Amino acid sequence: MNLNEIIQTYYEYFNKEKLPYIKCANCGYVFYYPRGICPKCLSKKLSIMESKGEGEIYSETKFVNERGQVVIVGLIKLEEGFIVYANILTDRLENVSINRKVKVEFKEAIKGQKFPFFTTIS
Amino acid sequence: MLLGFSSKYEKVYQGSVLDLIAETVGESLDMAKLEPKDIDGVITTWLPWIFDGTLAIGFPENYISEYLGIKPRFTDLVQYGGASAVEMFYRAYKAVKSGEADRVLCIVGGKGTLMKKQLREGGVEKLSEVELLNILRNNPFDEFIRIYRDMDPISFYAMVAARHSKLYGTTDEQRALLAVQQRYNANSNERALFKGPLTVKDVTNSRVVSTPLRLLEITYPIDGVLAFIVGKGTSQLRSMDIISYGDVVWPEFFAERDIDIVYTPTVESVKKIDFNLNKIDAFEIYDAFTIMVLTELEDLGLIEKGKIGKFVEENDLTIKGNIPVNTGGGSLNMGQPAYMSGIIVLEEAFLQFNNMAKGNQVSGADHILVNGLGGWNTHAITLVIGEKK
Repeated sequence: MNLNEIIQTYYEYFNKEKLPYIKCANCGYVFYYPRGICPKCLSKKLSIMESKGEGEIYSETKFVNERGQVVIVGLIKLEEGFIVYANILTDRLENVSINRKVKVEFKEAIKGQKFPFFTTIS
Repeated sequence: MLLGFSSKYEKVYQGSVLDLIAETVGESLDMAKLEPKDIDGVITTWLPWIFDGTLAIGFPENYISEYLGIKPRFTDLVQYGGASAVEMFYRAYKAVKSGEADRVLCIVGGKGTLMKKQLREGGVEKLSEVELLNILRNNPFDEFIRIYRDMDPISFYAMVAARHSKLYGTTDEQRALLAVQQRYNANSNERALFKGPLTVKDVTNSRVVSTPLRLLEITYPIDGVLAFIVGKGTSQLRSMDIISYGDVVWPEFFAERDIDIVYTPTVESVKKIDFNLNKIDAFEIYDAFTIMVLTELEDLGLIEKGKIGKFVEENDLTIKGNIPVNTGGGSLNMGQPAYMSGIIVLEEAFLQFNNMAKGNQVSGADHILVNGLGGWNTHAITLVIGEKK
């Protein structure tokens, strides 16, 4: 697949509420951010996989936006070994801290297109 | 090697950045006793919005040369973010050494306040829409990154600070202590824009901007330009050389790094430094946020990773102390002009080396280490400047 096809496949996965990632058949490296080549060995033998969508918070930060809402940005380390940068959604701010378990949740972020967000597992 | 330099920093500058450039370039030429026709190299940098609030399509080195009536035979465009100014000094030095140019004019600056205005007044959302239309991209994965609301770059360095605290127990008070020590230096510096008494409590009581970073740990955007000329010939300035240098680029998006986000690329740039750091008289360390200075000092090897909190408590990092750091107060007290704080730390090194730092001069500043840091911990350049004998 070329890059645009991979990006399109990612968008289709998101709208089906699935979290994709890529595994290199040549060197075994797993990564999230879409590419048509493996960034470790440049192989084109890549497979789009489906993540369980569960992991833990690697780091996070909270801020108040211009509308007075608390926004959380975090790095999420998924069980399959890759890291995703995303917003963390919660009703309980005290639940969001480094090492806390989280799972993916999908939300329409622009019209007609869902994107992955994360929420803590209580 | 350094023939002349001049800067102008204001909390808000009403004119065009080209006015600031013309003024500072003119003053740096005067110091060097040169005319525009004597300049044969130009190095600059450029990012969207913050030059004059305009979006550059390309060729900024031509744009600036054209305005100043300079016809360079050598140009370079350095896109190292906060590390740009320091990298420019190094590249100009190399260009002169190799004979590509005889006198290189480096210009860094723009309107930091315009970036702040764009970010605070809905610019971020506007930018996301633009980027989603693929008109403007900073990263091959922009549509998978910009969709999330953040306070880039504060969010990234806040996550570094949060993780540093989690892994090593670094406290808010220890980060605040660094800000207090830099303020001590600023209070002696007649050029500092932000002055006054400051305590650890003042810092920890200041508004949280992005947890755990607070307002007084973050630089304030200002407008400003630094122009400097590197070249052959004599000048009224002290003979300056780059004694040792190392630079490194970590192009990966930070979520994909093999190394923990508490490390800066300084950990690699310093490996190329062949100089005993115990003989450094002043450290000028890139400081957009307190956590940057702390992690850079660790990565330079002054103390092992994770122990900087205690190190700040046990050492005096002020101009009267055993390890003077950011002797002019750093960007935390000078403000952050456009293209980030590299010009603040670099110019302070020029001033210290030439015994021109009024009020905050470290005596015997013969060897100065300058560390530039850019992007999301993406670029680092480490220089030791001094006089080759």
